[in-house]
Amino acid sequence: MLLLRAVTRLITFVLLAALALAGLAVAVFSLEGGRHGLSLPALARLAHLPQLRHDVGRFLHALESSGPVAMLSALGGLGAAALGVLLLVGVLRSRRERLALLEAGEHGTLAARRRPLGLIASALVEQARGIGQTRTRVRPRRRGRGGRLHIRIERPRGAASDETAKQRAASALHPLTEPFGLRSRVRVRHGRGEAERR
Amino acid sequence: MRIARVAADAAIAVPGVVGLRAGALGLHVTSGGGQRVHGVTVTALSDGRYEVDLHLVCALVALPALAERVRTAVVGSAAAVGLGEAVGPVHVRIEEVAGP
Repeated sequence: MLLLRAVTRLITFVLLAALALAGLAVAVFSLEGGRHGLSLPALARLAHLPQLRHDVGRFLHALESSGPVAMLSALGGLGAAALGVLLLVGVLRSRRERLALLEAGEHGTLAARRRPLGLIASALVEQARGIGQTRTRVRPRRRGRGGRLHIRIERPRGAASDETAKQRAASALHPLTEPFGLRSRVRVRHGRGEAERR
Repeated sequence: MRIARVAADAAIAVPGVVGLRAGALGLHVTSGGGQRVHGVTVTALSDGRYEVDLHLVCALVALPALAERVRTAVVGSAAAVGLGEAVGPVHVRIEEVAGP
């Protein structure tokens, strides 16, 4: 999504710059009449418009009949349509990133991005006894406080039961989930025991 | 620009704050007088005050307490240099956590 937005911005900038330059050229070449000097026919000659009309005319003529040119043109059209849709998504999609809100009021907001919250959740849970590696995913609500925190923990064989591991993980997460209003969901995955790892 | 500088200095001085981040596209920056303050944006409000946005990189610490301490520090530092009336809402956003 970030790449799409960057491409959209770049294309918007390039198109606007090209439009501004074209407008400036037309304005300057409108200063004089006739066919020479700063006149529009002179600009058309400078831009090789007669030659362009000749070339495009041949191409358009080839398009009318079936053949490789028509196929190429259809593919190009589809590609352009797909690019247009992607650019529209880049422009229209909400730019507001989902943040986990701690507090929002007249004094300002306190919020955190998903990634640091996930890292801290992992760090908290991995300190608990009988829990190995973890994977977290934070999904704050689009508006307001709250959201979900999914965490998958690895329980080494021989460690506490699934239920105990879940309870330990949930209580380890409590200092994080409670202030941010997040609901935690813990899933347990069975890992290898220490003896098997060796 | 002065508010941004005061806010950045106050935030960095809070234990647990590792730095300020301008974002992936470098948009969270305040520029003026040939200087740039990264990770802080200041927006003028219609009531004459300024809204301050801080984008922080933190250590592995308790985020709620840290965010509150940063806000208190920013408001306090602004008041200490005579900018207390000018500072409006202070938004603190934890952008990243630095490893131990």
